Amino acid sequence: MDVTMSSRPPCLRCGTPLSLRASSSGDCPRCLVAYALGSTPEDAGPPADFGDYAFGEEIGRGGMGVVYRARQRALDREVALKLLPFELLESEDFLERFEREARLMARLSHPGIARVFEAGISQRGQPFLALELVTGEPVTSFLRSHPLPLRARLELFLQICEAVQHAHQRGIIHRDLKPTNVLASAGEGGPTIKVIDFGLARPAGDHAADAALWRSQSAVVGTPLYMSPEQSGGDDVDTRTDVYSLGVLLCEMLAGAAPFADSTFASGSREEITRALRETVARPPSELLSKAGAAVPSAVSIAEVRGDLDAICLRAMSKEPAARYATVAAMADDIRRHLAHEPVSAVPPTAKYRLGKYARRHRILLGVSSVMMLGFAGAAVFSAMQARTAGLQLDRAERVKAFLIEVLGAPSPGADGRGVRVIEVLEKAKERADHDLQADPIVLADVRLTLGTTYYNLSLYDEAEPLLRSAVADTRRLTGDRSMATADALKAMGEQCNWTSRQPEATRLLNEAIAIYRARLPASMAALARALQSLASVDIHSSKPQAAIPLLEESVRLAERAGGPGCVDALVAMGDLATSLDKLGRRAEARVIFDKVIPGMRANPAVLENLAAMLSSFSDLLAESGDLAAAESTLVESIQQRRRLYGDETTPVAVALGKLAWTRFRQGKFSLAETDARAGLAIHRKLLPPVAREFFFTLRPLAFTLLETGRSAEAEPFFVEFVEVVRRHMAEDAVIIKQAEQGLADARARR
Amino acid sequence: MPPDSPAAFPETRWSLVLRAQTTAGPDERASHALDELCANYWYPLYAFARRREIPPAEAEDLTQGFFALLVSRSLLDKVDRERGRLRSFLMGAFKLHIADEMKREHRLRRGGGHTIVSFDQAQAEEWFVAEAADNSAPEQLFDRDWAEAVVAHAMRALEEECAQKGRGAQFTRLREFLSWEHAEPEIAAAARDLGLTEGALRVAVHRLRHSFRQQLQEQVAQTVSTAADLQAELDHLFRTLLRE
Repeated sequence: MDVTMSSRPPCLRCGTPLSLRASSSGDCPRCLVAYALGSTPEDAGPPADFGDYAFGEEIGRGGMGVVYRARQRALDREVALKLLPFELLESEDFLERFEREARLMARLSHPGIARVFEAGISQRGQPFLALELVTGEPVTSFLRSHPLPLRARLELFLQICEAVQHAHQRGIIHRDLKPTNVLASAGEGGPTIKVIDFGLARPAGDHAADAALWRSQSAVVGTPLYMSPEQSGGDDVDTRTDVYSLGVLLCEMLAGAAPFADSTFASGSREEITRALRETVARPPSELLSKAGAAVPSAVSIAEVRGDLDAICLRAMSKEPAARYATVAAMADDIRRHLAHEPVSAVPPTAKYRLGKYARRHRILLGVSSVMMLGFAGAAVFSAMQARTAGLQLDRAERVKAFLIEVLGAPSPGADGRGVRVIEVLEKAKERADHDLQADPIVLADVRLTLGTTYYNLSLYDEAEPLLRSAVADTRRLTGDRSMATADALKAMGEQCNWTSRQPEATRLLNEAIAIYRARLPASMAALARALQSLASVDIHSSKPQAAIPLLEESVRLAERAGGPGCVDALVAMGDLATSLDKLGRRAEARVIFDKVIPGMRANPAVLENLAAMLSSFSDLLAESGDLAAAESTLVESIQQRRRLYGDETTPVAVALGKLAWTRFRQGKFSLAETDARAGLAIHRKLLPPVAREFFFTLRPLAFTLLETGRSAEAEPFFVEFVEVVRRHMAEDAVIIKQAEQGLADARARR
Repeated sequence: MPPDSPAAFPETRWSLVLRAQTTAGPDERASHALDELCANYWYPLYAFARRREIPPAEAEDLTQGFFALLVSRSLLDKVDRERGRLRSFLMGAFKLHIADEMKREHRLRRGGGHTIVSFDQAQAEEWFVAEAADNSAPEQLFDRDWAEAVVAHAMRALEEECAQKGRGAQFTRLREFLSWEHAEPEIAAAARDLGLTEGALRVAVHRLRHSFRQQLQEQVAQTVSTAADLQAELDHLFRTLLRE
């Protein structure tokens, strides 16, 4: 046995004499323990500089790591250096994913996204990110210090959407969208945002990352407020998890409060909170604003967010991903549509809603429909009433206005806190008028006329009918058969009859109104011009354009005298005149008027709707002249206009699609024709009752295209329906009925 | 776990041994646990005896005799349940044992003829001689020997764990990375040797360190019976090794 007294060799690192046992293995127990237990990196102080980075002060801390200001020496630039939790490394494939995502992130280049300069592993094995250093404050606190109006808030939110969508298109999901990750700052061109902390290290289904994320949210806001239910539950997530978070964020940007009660996540395990996220109904921003009450001054009013914006938030925050917007872009589109007063997709696409939206855009054109504005925006403007009630005694007009403002001006939210629909407001006003025993009966008659006309303008003919009928009876009884009030009621009822295919009655009512107006010139000049136009419209619908022409010519003259050349009434009458001339084959005359009226309409935003119709009529002329290609492109423009005006799934769009289909059919473009016709027909079926006159436009091209391409059996049912429509709505001797019947016969013969 | 045991602390070798004291009859699991503890921690006791200037052969006898008494349970009756840490217990009980044996004057030679724990006395003596220059208090040196034994067991367990996962070679190459922060070139060289990227190597080192911490904690846990004792014992280990 070697018993030589040897002094213990020191550890090369710490200098401590090593026991023989230790030195034989090469391990220094002191170093091992000092290194393993001495400083757990997670709670170490300022980290040691590494690589090219010199650390500065800590600028942020959360479950996903600590962020330091740092200087990148070689490039002499300030960066945000984020040290990620070591727990991430526990996942086996973390590194591979981290490096792959870092490569993806490096490709992200968007002004709304903080750049990722480098992603790597520090010497001590800690994952880190070198990021663009972003100044700014969380968007919600920014909005508290900068109380922007609604539009500016929405535009700011659209910036966020664009940034997030940019990343989604490149396969990166953020997964932790919340105010502290969306920094806003005031710039010269208005406020700008930067989305930080994108996607990295948060791949789907990663439990370690998920746990860290959970801590992150809990640590910052005390609740996982912005986390989608599926993400909270640990399920697989896709880009729609960001859509959810954006919904919560939008809600808070509008209402200044979160869409869940504070107590929702007050306590409980992760499982309980996940259940709460799945079961608690998110509150829409209007409800949050009304809860906050007058005590909290807000730059955004309840009325502004009720309806569309409530619906957009709630759709984005749907518990089921499938019920949300499929993409962030779709959500942004809806907000843009809202800003343009177009129908939003978040609201079920009913005809009533879309036409309501249309009426709101065109309150000037639609006259009395502007009363709806009272219900929605509390606007005191009542311009259409003023136009229509020019002939009323001033105090009576004022009293009608006062009545409507009282009833419609302050809608209370429905029991479910959702926005009040136009229809509900009108219903309320109607009931009030029916039961008000104190109001002047003449005022009530005017109220019914106003409401009836509003329903009519919204294409709600069933609702309009009783109101207009009683308006006629009441004005006759109360003001006499020859009064302006009676004439107004007769004219409204006449228009209603015309549109519901009761032309003889329409003609009678309108003629009576015209006689009254003629007797009351010049005060009634504008009203007479419109009544003549309505009567001409009856003739046009009855396939008697010949009879319409003198009426329209007189209407144009009167309208120009009353409102000046290029006024709305004149333009509309001119448009109808051009259409009628065209139908009679007087194309040269028609073309002269089209050339005058289309630029006039382009210049007058109040008649954009008519422009769309005019383009469509002009396309008819072009088609009849044999210039099918020009007709086709004019229709394409018309469809674009209509989509912009009314939304995609609307009757005007469907009609124009049908016409486009017919034009294409005539050029032998059968495949395109079939597509257009089917698209239009699908919209019609959704929105219209069976055998409505509009089916003419979509059934005809589809039936004939199928017949022409050898699919007679398929064509036959469409022809059956087509024949039914034309027999119901066209004059008995109309050529089109013969055409339809012939088509049906052919389809049956070729089977 | 018995219902009266401290909340949620898992069963350890030492808690098994302690519990066996309150039950009648043989307890195989407890004896096995005690055997393992003796095998792991005989050297600190041997060295302690040698520092009392007991010659090598007698020191071995003393240690074996001590373990014989332990196994026969007669010593364990003296355990202070409140303190409950193996290291403290062994230190105290071994001192008493030495005192008893000194009084008896060689009455029980060579552990009464029993070899309780198989240990290489020659190897032990070699180790002991190599560090004989230290003149700290024997209790301090016992604690140091103990701590080094704990660390050595943790490393051995880690080595076995890596071997089981088919990472024996990686452990051998990365072993030194557990002791200190390495510079870039060393990392690059190791990465090359193991065919990993540098990032992957850093992650591997991090994981190894993590596993080592767990093993260290596990080893210490086996010598205590409550969570509070575990933390105290870890702190003690840390202080012992980093003293000076």
